[in-house]
Amino acid sequence: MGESIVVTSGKGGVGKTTTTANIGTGLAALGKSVVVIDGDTGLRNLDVLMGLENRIVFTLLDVVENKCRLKQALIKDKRLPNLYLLPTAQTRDKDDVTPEQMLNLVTELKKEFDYVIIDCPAGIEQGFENAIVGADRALIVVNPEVTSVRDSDRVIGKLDARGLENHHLIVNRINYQMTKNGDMLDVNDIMDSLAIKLIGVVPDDRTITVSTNKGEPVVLDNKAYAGQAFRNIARRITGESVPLMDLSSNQEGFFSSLKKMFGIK
Amino acid sequence: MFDDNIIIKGNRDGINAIINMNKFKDFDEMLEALIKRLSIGKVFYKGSTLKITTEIKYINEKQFGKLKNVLFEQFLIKDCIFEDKEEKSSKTFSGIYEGRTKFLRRTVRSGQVINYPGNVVIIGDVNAGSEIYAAGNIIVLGALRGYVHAGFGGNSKSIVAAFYLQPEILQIADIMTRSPEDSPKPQYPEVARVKGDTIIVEPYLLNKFI
Repeated sequence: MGESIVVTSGKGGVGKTTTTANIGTGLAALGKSVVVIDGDTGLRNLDVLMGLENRIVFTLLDVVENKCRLKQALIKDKRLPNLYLLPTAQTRDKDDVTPEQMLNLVTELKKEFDYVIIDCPAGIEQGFENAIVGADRALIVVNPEVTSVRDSDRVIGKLDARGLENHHLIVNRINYQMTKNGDMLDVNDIMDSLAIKLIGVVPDDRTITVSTNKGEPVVLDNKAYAGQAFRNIARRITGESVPLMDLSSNQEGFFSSLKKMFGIK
Repeated sequence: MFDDNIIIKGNRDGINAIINMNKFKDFDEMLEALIKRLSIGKVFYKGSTLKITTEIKYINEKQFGKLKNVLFEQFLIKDCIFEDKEEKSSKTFSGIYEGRTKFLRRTVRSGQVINYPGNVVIIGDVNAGSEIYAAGNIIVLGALRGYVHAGFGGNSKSIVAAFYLQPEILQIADIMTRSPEDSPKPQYPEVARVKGDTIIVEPYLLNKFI
């Protein structure tokens, strides 16, 4: 029996889909069998991040409405043989799926895969309820902004009310220089107000934009700083203890620290 | 196990269901429990008039419709009357020195509402966007950043105390105040209480901190 993990945040645009794609790919790269589910019916994006948008034939909606078998809707990843994507429909909306259907679907997938990762849509309506109903644990993505922290707080409260109390925090898009100058919330400020366990910190990295557009998760890019952060998070999810990256090594300039990290002159 | 979340009893007006909304996470959970409860004697309720006594402010229009639908269609209830529980129990709480107290060992997060007819002690933070209504004192062993109303029901001797007192709005009985915006934020524990007709905030122990 595998484990199901929902990636959520409340606020939109903080990097839930990017996190889902990267952690899913990262876990698959560690040899686990993984399926990533796009929970954002009507505004799907996970397929683009994985570079699989041209291969969608059947979707999650077809599965829950018994128009096809579950196996038919799963799309095998281009790069990793043990990674699958379950895309959702673009022409339907979130109310077309019920929590019961999602729960059955996730339970079914947990039998086949080590990890089932669900990308939650923004907001706290039906789509959110659908995404969290089958989850065993939650990853909450937060940006170092007051708005994001506040929405995450609301979401954590919602998760607690649903009995999903195994949750961890991912601080995304942190900029060491700005937090040092006091222009941005730092990790401690966020931890202080949310009071939940931290599982990883992902630095702000422009390679993310490139990887999103190319459809290649940054976690496979050994040179990218953000990729390293996502690899660490994937390892922590498997239960390994990995120390947090030292973000201050980033201070003398992004590229020089990268070169230093990988020993390139 | 006796469960007092939903009490069903018969009196001279007919059948009365008293639902304590505070014991449920949300409306749907309450509805589920109510259905389960009524299913036991399904035949008994057929064609009867059911009076529901609950905190009506927790139920919105749409949910009323859903509730009525279930009652009329599943249980074939003839008529359904709603009554607000609060109307009866709006007596001033007097146990602020010794009395009924609720202890919460968690952080109260944005969007969550705590409503208790007694004192409330929170071992954790009260985050911005949450609301706490207590008939007596509110004590927070952590940071208080939400909306708090102590002495709900009119006891103006109630206090609000927190390690870090920065509420959005603080209300004691019928006096309301906001945190001052630009003043320095004290890092020591504080107590808010009513003096005259205003709310004053001072350290726990005057001599220790000032």
